[in-house]
Amino acid sequence: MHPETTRSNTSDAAGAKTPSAAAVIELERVSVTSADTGTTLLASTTLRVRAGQVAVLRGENGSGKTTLLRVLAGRTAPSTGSVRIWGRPVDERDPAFRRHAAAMIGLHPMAPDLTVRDHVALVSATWYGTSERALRATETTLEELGFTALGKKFPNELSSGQTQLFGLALVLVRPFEVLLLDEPEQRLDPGRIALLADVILTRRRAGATIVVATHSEILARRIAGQTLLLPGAA
Amino acid sequence: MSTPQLQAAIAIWRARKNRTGGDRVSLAYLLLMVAAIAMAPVIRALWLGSTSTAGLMLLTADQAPDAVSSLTALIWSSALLLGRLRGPALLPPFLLYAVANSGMKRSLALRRPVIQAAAWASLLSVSVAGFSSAALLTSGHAGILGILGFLGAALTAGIIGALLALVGQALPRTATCIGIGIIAVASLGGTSPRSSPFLPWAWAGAAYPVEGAGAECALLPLAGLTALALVLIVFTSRMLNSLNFHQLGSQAAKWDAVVTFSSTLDFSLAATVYRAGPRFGSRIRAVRTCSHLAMTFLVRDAIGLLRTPVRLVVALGMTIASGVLLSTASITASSAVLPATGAALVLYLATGVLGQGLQHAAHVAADYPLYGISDRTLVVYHALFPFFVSALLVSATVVACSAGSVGVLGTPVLETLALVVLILLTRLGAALKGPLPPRLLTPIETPAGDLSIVAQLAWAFGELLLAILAGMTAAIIPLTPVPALVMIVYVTIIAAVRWRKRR
Repeated sequence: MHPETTRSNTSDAAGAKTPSAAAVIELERVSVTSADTGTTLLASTTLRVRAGQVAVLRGENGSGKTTLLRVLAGRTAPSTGSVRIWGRPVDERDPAFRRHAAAMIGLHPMAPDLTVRDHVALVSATWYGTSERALRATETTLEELGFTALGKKFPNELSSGQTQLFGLALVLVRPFEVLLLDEPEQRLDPGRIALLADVILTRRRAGATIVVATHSEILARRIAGQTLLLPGAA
Repeated sequence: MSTPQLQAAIAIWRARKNRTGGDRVSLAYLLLMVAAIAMAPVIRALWLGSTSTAGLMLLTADQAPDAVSSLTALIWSSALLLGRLRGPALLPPFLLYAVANSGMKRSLALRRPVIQAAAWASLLSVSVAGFSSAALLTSGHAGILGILGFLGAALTAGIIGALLALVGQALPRTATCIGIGIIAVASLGGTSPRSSPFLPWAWAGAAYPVEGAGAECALLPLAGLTALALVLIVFTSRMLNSLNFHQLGSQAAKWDAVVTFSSTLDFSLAATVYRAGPRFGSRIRAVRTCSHLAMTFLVRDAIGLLRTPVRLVVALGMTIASGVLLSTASITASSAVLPATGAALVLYLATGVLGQGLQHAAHVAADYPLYGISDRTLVVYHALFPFFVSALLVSATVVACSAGSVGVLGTPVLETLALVVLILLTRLGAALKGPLPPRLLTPIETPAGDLSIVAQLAWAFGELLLAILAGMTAAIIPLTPVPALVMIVYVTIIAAVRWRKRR
């Protein structure tokens, strides 16, 4: 498939509300080349995602899925092209951008002496302070991911799949309008992948615009979003 | 988003280590004892040294203000360069992740650690300045007003140092240029307050309380330093807001690793955290088919090191320096031990880079077999490169430096070979060392208290001690080779024991 084309899923399996016409995410002919080695990390790619839509990034290892998410998250500058979210250039140093966009690209650092609940509560506190809302966000997120009973555990006591869901909880506890997820299905069993799909669809119904890079056919089918197939590894 | 969110986050962070009243008393007692036992004697010795005739001669010398300027230039340039690796705007990794990715400005989220860094830098700076000032005051060589001016300059210089580290963190390339520029100008003589009145680091020297000078002498330099500090403070928010999370996260993770490794006295692992990764030569094949497998490993180690050229150049420079020191030892036979010890220490550090393959072989040997050759053969093959490079380079340097000075070159070359073998065996032992054995954590009760820390420090710095002993025994080879032979047997036994326990 040509890298500059997108394939949209016309069917809306999630039965989401009709998205507005304006694209929230606008990626125009973006490519990334390593400054050190000259290797192409992401071939020229165009992507538009409207409000309340899910875009699924598919492709082989090394095809640039993570790089594309990093560009959208403002963590990697594109070598060519432009990228805008809500009509503004992405810049993760800009607090206004950070208020709009949440990202899980790899696992976040964890503090060995904080419990799962402490971790989630701390991230929640940075958004809601000490308000009732902070507590509610923490509990709701833990419950949504089936973590209520695991809240008192420390990170080193979690299985690899639980650690993955824990990382997801740290992102979901905060407010966002755009959610970027890099292979969130890693290390999850089929039941947890189904749970993950439900969580993504819930956020979509709430109006979030979501971009997910995945190798999971099950997840891709369940969230049934617009699919962008990136060409093979450079 | 404002401070309530930050305060709430920090409250949760601090609550993870809720100390009881007993814990606090115990901590206070511990700090008091460390201050009384470890710090007080050092401070007393420094005070006696400063107030002695020789000490006061140094403090009242004409060059003292120039020395203060040079020191300030060195500290500021170091701050600029070190800020690139570990800046003051840093928090523990998870707290950093939480606050730096929240909706609050980074100038707000990271303000606290910068203020703390500036406070610590100022405290250190004022303490050092206060020490020399007190010595000058009690001996009547300076007036109270002049000293107050100097302490003010020290306080401001400390703040500037911390903020220059922030410049290094926020603007690494600019900081490198400025840092190198400061070193260059200062080295070319730009340190004298009289001849360089426009150089900021010379203002610190100009505020030094020389005899007969009044407080007015310190006013102008103090005003200059204050103005510079204010300029940096004005730009602090902008610099903090320009920091990107990739860089912040990387610095925080590295620093966290250094603290973790250092707290378990694993300094060799801590040193690898800031090791530069390969960036060049990926198109050159490191593994080639050679006539003998040993040659394949030799070429592989050589090309592997070429991929980090700065480290290679530094290691080769240190190896040559080791040769120079060793030749000095052979020329000055009567006081050979000191330069030979220096040569051994420098060579030990150099082989940390040159013996990278040896380290890899030790790691592989400690796990399930990976290569189709025995662990022993693997170690021998990886030892070839550091052995030949260090033996040839040190010998060549010794021969070049000693030519014409000594009649027989055989002895210095023999010293060189003995030293290289000793150091490489020590390196192999270090590579096979593993983590701190838990038995060393058990208390060693003595009338002077628990001395388990001595055993832990001996374990942590054992290889450096062995390197020192290697240098000393190599230095006396012309007199008797027995100590060197005993050392070779000893480090071989250590390496062999660790080899047997490697898995």
